[in-house]
Amino acid sequence: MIRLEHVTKEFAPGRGIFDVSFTVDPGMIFGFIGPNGSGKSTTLRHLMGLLAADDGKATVGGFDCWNQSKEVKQLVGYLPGEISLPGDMTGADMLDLMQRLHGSDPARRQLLLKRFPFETKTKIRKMSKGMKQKLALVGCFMKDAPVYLLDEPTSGLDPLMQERFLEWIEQEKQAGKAILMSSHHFPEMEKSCDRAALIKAGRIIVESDIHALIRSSRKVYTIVFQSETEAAQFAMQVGVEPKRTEVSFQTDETLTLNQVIAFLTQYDVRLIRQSADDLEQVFLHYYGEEEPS
Amino acid sequence: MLLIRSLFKQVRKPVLAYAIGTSLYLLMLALLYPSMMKTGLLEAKLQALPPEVLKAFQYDKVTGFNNVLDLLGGNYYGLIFQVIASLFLLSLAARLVARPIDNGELIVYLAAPITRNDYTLAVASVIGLASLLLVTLNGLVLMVADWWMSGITIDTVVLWRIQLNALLLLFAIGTFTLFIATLFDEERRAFSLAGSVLVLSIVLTILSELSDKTEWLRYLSVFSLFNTTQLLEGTNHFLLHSVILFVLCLIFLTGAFVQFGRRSLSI
Repeated sequence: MIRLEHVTKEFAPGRGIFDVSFTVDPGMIFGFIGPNGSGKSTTLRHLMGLLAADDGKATVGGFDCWNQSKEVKQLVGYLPGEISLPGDMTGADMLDLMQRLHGSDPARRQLLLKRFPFETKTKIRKMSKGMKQKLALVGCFMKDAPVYLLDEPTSGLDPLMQERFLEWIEQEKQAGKAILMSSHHFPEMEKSCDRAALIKAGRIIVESDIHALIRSSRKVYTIVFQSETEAAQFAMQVGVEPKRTEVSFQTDETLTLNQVIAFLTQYDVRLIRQSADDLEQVFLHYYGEEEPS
Repeated sequence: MLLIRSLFKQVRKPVLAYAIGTSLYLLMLALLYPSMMKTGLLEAKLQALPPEVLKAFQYDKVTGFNNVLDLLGGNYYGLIFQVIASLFLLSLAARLVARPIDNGELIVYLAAPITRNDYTLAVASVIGLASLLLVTLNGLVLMVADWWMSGITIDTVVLWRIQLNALLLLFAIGTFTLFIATLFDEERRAFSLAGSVLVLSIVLTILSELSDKTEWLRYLSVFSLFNTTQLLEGTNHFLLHSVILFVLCLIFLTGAFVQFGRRSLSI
């Protein structure tokens, strides 16, 4: 449904997106992960026909995103990363306008307003970031579109609303929608996405099934022991330096979790914790280690 | 139609303010005209000014005002109208194109199944409608004053010829400001460039009237295509000026369509 084939757009030497390719099928949530300025929003803008590619092709439903943008936009519900709406309008005015422009369903609007409630009579300039985000979410999803492009959709939402958002997109996925979502919120990506691509400096560095991506990651654990002696002894076994009674280490092919559990049976363990979310670990693995020393 | 209605709603207040404000000013001058003529104070004051200054402000006729249009030729349709037209159309292009590009609000429209050409056409239509509203209200107010007051003699044909010429001038400036607004990502840069060109045009018009040596400068200014004094005297090349203004509209409108249609937008 959504297809990018070797899309390249260079704004300045080394700045832009380069050879970006991936596909999002109906009934799939595709996560697009990357640090700030890595090219996530630029990629979504190509799909919305806002940017012309220097090379390659972006299509939605078989329509070219640049040359047939009207047909593409008929199929797409878009949530921009930066919510900029006319401040003089009220939330209700804005939804009315979006409803007319997109031919959206009023019943869906009411349903969404129950899920993501906010004061629709408030002027947009008086709204908090969270309210504006809910307004944009309702505006995007009240269009019963087969494709959704969501740029940082939960930015500014409280945990309850984030949970409701995940429930909502799961329903949309079940209804056969193709959803492309960029986010930095790793727990929600882990919960919701079927596949994910990681982008760095405008290039896709890995694209995979999300579970395979997480399985492949090296996980970091911290264990707190009863005594510093035990910590030092265990640290020697796993080949790291202890920090008083704490030992942090990574599991991988040479040091599996099963091996660690076998070692731990000899010690008085007080606490075991995983240092970060699995997907965040993947992110740190790909983005954190290349920083110049 | 939905797009035009929605965009017009955004600029309705300033458009009405300009149209009603200028019309009230015209009405006030029309109402004062009979008493001004009776006292002769205006003519005396104008005669005291240097002829070059009067000419620069298109106030050539310092004696023998035959009707209120003679007065308005210098008091509204000269420099005042040039400044108002420039501000009016700069603000419209800024509100409808330059600012929404700059702050990203344009995405409200461009996320919908609307092409860039649809949007450009809608903006051009709104600018056209706003200009039409302004000159029509100006003309109607003067007709009402003519009908209502004694001592005001307005030649309806000349009045509407002036309004039509003014409308074409507004169209030409409006399409120019629209074209400039499509060139930049920043509202400030679009406003600065279009504003500078219009201010320069006004200055050139004034300079061209100061002496015979600088008279050629008028060919560099779009405002020389709307000269009320000549229109009132019947010496104006009305048809030629109208055709030139219309051609300018087409050139700038085509430029706006081409430029906005092909440019990348980081919104």
